[in-house]
Amino acid sequence: MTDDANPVPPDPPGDAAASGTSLRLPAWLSGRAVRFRDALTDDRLLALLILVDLVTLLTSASIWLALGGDAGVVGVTAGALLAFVAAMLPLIRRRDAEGERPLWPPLILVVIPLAVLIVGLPAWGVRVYLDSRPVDMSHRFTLSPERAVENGDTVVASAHTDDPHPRLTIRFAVTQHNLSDPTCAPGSKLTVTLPTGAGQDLPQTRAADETFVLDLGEGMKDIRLTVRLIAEQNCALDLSVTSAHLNE
Amino acid sequence: MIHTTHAPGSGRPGVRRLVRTVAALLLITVTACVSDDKDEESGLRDTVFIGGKTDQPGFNLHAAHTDRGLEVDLANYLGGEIGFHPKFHDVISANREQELKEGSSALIIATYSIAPDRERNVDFVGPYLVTGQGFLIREDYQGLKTEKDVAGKEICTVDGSTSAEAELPRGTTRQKVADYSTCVRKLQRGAIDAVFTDEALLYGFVEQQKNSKVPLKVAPGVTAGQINRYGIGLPKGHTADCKSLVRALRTYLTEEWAADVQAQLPALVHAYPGDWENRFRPDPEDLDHYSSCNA
Repeated sequence: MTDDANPVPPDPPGDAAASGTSLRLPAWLSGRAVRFRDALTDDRLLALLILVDLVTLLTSASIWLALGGDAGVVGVTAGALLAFVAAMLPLIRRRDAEGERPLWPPLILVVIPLAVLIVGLPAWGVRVYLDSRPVDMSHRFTLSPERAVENGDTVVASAHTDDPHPRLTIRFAVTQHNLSDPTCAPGSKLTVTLPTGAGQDLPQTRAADETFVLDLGEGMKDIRLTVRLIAEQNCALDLSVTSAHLNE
Repeated sequence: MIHTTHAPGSGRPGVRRLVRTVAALLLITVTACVSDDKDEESGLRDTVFIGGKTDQPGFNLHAAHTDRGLEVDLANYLGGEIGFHPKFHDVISANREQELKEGSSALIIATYSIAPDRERNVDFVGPYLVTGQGFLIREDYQGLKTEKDVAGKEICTVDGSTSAEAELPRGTTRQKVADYSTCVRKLQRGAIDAVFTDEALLYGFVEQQKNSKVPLKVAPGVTAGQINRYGIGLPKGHTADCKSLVRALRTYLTEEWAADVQAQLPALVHAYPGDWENRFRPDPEDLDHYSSCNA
């Protein structure tokens, strides 16, 4: 008998080491590996990988910024990474010198603006939406002095925000300090003045329970209002802020 | 082949029952909403017992089996508009809330100032008169010309009134009694220096005592305390009655108020010629701000 009945297939060229250790990839995996290797020579896949890389990079930077990251640090980091990617492009370009097809232009040139658009447009949309929403400041105002006020008394209402908006809509409430006194709150009025900002020194006088809309201007983070009470004689009232919102 | 036919508009029995049930529930809900106020039993019909202070000239003075005064005129007007017959009985200031709680009075019309702590226990309709507070003195008395002069004086007020709680200059001695007639008698006897209460009320006593041996006057320009607004007190939760009273009072203020004040409080009109309506007459819109209900 001979071994002809079970012939050993010849080793594929260049695969001597693998055959030597009897390590062979399954057929489905080796097939995919071959396809992937072939695909890498296709500039479309490479462009796609760079695009994914850029989108991931820009998205991370946007989220970092949205979560309160310092704009300078975020910008420098993102810029450095973008520069790294840009620096890779001449390396890719060198393939042309070796006689292979260049990967760019034109395809790679589209990748960077495309990545910026993919991340930038939704980020801009989200930013516009968030900016258009009023910021609730109702519980952030402090009044000084914190005591009952009478006709002619002035109270300073102040608040800080990290999310400045150009307009403040605020509503106060006056309630009677001494409940056994005759009812005197309904006729009271408030004069609200903004010492700084776009609407500074333009006092608004309204019934105490009406809404005041004040023009703060751009970027005011520390809001300060003076509130003067106009009430009946000897009418002691407690002043409070019932609602306050910053909006566009 | 058998065809089952249904009359137009009829459905299967189960569906019909469901439709009827839903319709009945909707009808009950709508009826309950619409009749919210109307089903409430009104306390303002036939004879209505009203707690008043029948010793207050100009507002309500019971003499010779007759009640006279601005509050009597007001009660009669309201009775005519709403359809009841008012019957006053005397109530002291300190007992006004209790009268309404116990049901001894259906209404209180007794120079009753609208105040937040009172509104916890009773509802108000008003105001029907607005007044500051002042000092009643003997006509020949020269010791009270400015607010500063009040310090060190012996002042009479009525227990349970807002004047009894009002802030007065340090050093003022305050005597609290049950009614204003007692204060006025003490003043005329010289036992006290002044009576402190609502200015409008004091002018009633000025008018009453103008021909007595010791005539009185309101110290001109001397004021203290807060502005009082007289309201009609009624038991809490009688929304339909409250609304009826607001509507009637609104017309009273524009149609009858001025004539009644001129007739019942001539000393007040005389003290502020040309200005008394501005000072004492409420704006009809005030009813929306100070009443416990809106109508």
